[in-house]
Amino acid sequence: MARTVSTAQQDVLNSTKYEVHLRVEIENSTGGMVNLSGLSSFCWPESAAWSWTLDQPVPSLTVKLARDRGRSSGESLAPLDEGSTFNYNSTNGFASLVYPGRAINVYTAVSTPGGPALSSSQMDFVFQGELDEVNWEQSPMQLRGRSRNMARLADRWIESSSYVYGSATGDPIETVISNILSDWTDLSTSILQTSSSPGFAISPAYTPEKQPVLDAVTTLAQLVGWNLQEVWSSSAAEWKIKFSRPNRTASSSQASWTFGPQHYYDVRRMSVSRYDVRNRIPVIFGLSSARQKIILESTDSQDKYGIQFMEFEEAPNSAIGTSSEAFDLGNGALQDLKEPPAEHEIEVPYWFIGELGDFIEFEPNGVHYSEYQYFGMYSISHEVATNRHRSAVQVRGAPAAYSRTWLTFPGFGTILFNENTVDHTDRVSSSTSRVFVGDPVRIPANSLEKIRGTWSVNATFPAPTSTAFRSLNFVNYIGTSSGALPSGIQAIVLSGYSASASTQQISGSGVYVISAIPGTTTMEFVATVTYDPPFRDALGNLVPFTRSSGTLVEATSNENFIFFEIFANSTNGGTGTIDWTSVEPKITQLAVP
Amino acid sequence: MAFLTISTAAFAMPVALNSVRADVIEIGDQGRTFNGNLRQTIRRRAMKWSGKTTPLTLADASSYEAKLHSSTQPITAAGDLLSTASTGGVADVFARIVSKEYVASSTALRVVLNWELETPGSS
Repeated sequence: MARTVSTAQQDVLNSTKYEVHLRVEIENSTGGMVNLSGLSSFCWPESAAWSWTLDQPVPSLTVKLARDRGRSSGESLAPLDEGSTFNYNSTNGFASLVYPGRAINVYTAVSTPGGPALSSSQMDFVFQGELDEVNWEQSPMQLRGRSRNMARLADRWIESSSYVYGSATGDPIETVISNILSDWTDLSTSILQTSSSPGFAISPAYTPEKQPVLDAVTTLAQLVGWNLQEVWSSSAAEWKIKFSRPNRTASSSQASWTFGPQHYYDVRRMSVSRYDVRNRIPVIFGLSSARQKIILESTDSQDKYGIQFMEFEEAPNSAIGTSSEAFDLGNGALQDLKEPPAEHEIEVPYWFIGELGDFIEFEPNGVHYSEYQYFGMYSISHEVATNRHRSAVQVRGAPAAYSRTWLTFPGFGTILFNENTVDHTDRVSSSTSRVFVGDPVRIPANSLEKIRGTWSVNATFPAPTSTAFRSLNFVNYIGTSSGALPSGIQAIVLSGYSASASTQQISGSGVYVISAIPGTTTMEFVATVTYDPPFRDALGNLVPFTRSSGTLVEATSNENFIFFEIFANSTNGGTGTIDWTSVEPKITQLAVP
Repeated sequence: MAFLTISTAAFAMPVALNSVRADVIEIGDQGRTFNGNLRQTIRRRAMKWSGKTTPLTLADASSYEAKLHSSTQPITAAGDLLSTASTGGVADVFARIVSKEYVASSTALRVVLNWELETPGSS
């Protein structure tokens, strides 16, 4: 829905004449906001332009400011002008007022002509940004920025592959998105606005690869055909990231705004093409041993535009694990892509209330269409300058989550290891005497390259509750069995270990034992494991392998299976008890050969 | 009253005959909509004057240029010129020298300054 405004504001926006006011605020070096529209009784902003686009989730901002009020005036926004009073903080330290990284907020107001002066509370907060770039070679100086929240998502990365999201029993997708935002950004824990749950659970647990947070959460949102969009929340009076389903089946009575030929200056674009139509969309999903495929298609669309094909192939460990989930993914794309998006763009006087996904009604104009037309908002851009107060509204097709973004959907579930920051109870066996370093993970043949290299396995154990406890076993497995684990260690070189306990040793074939007499101290287990899969095909690709009569051989299965385990060693006297639920083993990739 | 003074009437500008032009700058936007209606967001109008000085000595030209450029903008302008534009004869203006013309005379080199005065506007 369009931004909530008062009836009076709606009337103003529908009138033939209204006033537009602009205020730009920038964060100073100590975190306070400075009103540039009244700084030293002077209006420094000359223009502001910003835009939102469905397939470009990070809105951009350009602001032009007067650079100075004359040479030697002592009032300049040039960041490196030490003669400017603006560039000093309260303790007289030099601190540029305008500098990259600072917050920059844009407010506007629309009002009836000749009305009373507007107060600050009557301004609408239309853009919450952060500065990326400042150019002041000429006046007006030019500032470029992006919306604060979405820029954080784009700039921050999931920096480690040691975090696990979802669970074997399934975590709500909105919870997983919120957890990722919480772990990897400094945004408010309440930044995510979800009006209703899509009812989709992320299962099994997965470890996202290192990637921008925006990519990780967008991929999640695409799983259910929803999108993430920065919006102003009138109720919370702050900017939120809204996780929502577009109203793909909106009816005419649900239009949030009507434009007639008396409203817009010009029709910039009116076209239709079938380039981005997709009407046959198979979704392949499921475990390697039980791959399934469902096909989402629209025969009506195929009759009109021919068969237009695209395919989603999910990894075996993707959260898309059921037909229902695969349907939601494929159907979301089908609904957004089955009809050619008629592209329509109009230019109107400044109209700030539009939001992406709004359902807009267009009255017939006698030239481009003779009946009422209904479109979803695809893009909106604004420009407020001294002599230009305009918005460009681009609509296409029905409200959609994405358009071209669907065509580059990366799939979900490219997982290497399920590393251990998950709930311990997920990994403690029923005997509560062992802990898995990573849930057993299947490595598809096309991912084997990723396991090459050196890995550190690390676990810290609490002091045992019984002094009889003496040793730990560390086992890792690699092979092709997806059920019963192959015995022993295969294709593994244990090249180093240490322990903070008094003694340690390695023994056994396939089972490494660390004897530790901990007393009242904690024990630390550190092992370095090197994987170098031995078999490659004619093209040089690694192929799965297994063990036969003590010898590594090429496997027929298309995946390998990796497993680590640490457990109390009964054969070496390790019969004591330990609080396994407090053990947090981790695995980290140290080097890639 | 002088025709044009700047900075609290202390500096009388020698304005060349027939050189002054006044333009109206609208603060806001307007256009015809698709069905012919006029829609606008104009909320005020600013003025812009441009003109030339009479030929000045190099020293006088430097003095005027420094006065116009080194002051904190906007500066105060007054005179009959501004009285013709509903400003009450006094207005805050942004002043600048946009170009110089060098004129040879029988006795020495002279300079003509092309200037602009513009009342502030805001978006």
